[in-house]
Amino acid sequence: MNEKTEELVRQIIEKTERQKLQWHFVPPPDSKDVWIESESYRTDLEDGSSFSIERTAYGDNKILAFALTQPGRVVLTAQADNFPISTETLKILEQGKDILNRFDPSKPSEPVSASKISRFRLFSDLFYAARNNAVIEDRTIEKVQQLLEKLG
Amino acid sequence: MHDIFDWSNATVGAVGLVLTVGAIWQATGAKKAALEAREAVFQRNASDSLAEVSRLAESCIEYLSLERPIEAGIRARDLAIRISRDRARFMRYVAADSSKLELLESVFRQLAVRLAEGRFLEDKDKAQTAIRDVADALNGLNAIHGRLLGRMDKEDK
Repeated sequence: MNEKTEELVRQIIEKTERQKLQWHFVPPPDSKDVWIESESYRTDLEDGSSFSIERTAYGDNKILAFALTQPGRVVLTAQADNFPISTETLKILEQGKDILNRFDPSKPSEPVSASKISRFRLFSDLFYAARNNAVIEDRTIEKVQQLLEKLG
Repeated sequence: MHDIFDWSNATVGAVGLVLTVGAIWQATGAKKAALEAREAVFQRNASDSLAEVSRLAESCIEYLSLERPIEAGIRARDLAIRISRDRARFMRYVAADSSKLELLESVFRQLAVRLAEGRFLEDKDKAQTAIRDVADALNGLNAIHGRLLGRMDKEDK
C-alpha cells in the first residue's frame, strides 16, 4: 500500500509541476495552540475526487498528511514526518531488519532511515509544489493592487 | 703473574665495551621502536578523527533531508570547527590535502551561516544544492581518509 501511495504522490507532483492540477489554499481550523503552525492545500478533480496535503509544524518537527477523498468518504490517507530516529531505536530497527533479511537475502540492504527520509522528501516535495502552484494561481493580491491603483 | 692480570683486565674491559655497545645499540633500537609506535598511534588518531568527521557529515545530510535546520546547522558548525582543528593537529599526515580540507571547512562554515537564515530549507532548489554540497564534501573527506589509510597500510608492510 505504501508503494502504491508513493507512486500516486509522484504522479501528482509531476502533474502539479506541469500545471495540470490547480491547487488552492485551505484556511486552517482555529487552533488555541499558538505553537502549532498548520498549512493545507487542496486540488479537486473533475469526478469529484480531491487530493489534499497538510503540513502541521511544531517548531522544526513537521508532519505531512496526504489524503484522497471523494464526496462523503475518505479513500486514502498517508503521513510522513521528519522526527529524527534515536540511536537506540535505530539499533533495534537495524537488528530487526538484519533478521528479516536472513529470510529474504534478495532484498536490497539500505539503512533503515533511508526509507523514512525518502518518504518525507516525497511528501515535502508535494507540499512545496502545491504551495508554489497555489501562489501562482492565486492572482488576488495583484487584482487588489490594481483596484487600489484605480482608487487614485 | 703480572701478564695474567693484564690479560684478564684487558679481556674484562673488552667484554665490558662490547656489552656497552650492545646495550647502546639495543636502547637506540628501543627508542626508534617507541617513536614508531607513537607515530602509529598519532596516525591512528588522525584516521579515527577523519572517520568521525565523515560520520558527522552523513548526519548533516540526514538532517538537511529531513528539513531540520537547527540540527543541521549545529552539525555544519561542528564540522567546520573539527576540520579546522584536525587540519592543524594532523598537519604531518594530511599536509598534501591541507588546501582541500580548508575548502571543505569553508563549505560547512557557509552552510552554517545559510542555515541560520530562517526558512532556507523550504526552497527546494536551495535545499537540494545544500544536500549536494555536503554529499560532495563527504566524498572529499572520504577520499582524504582513504589516502591516509593507504599510507598507513604501506608503512605497516
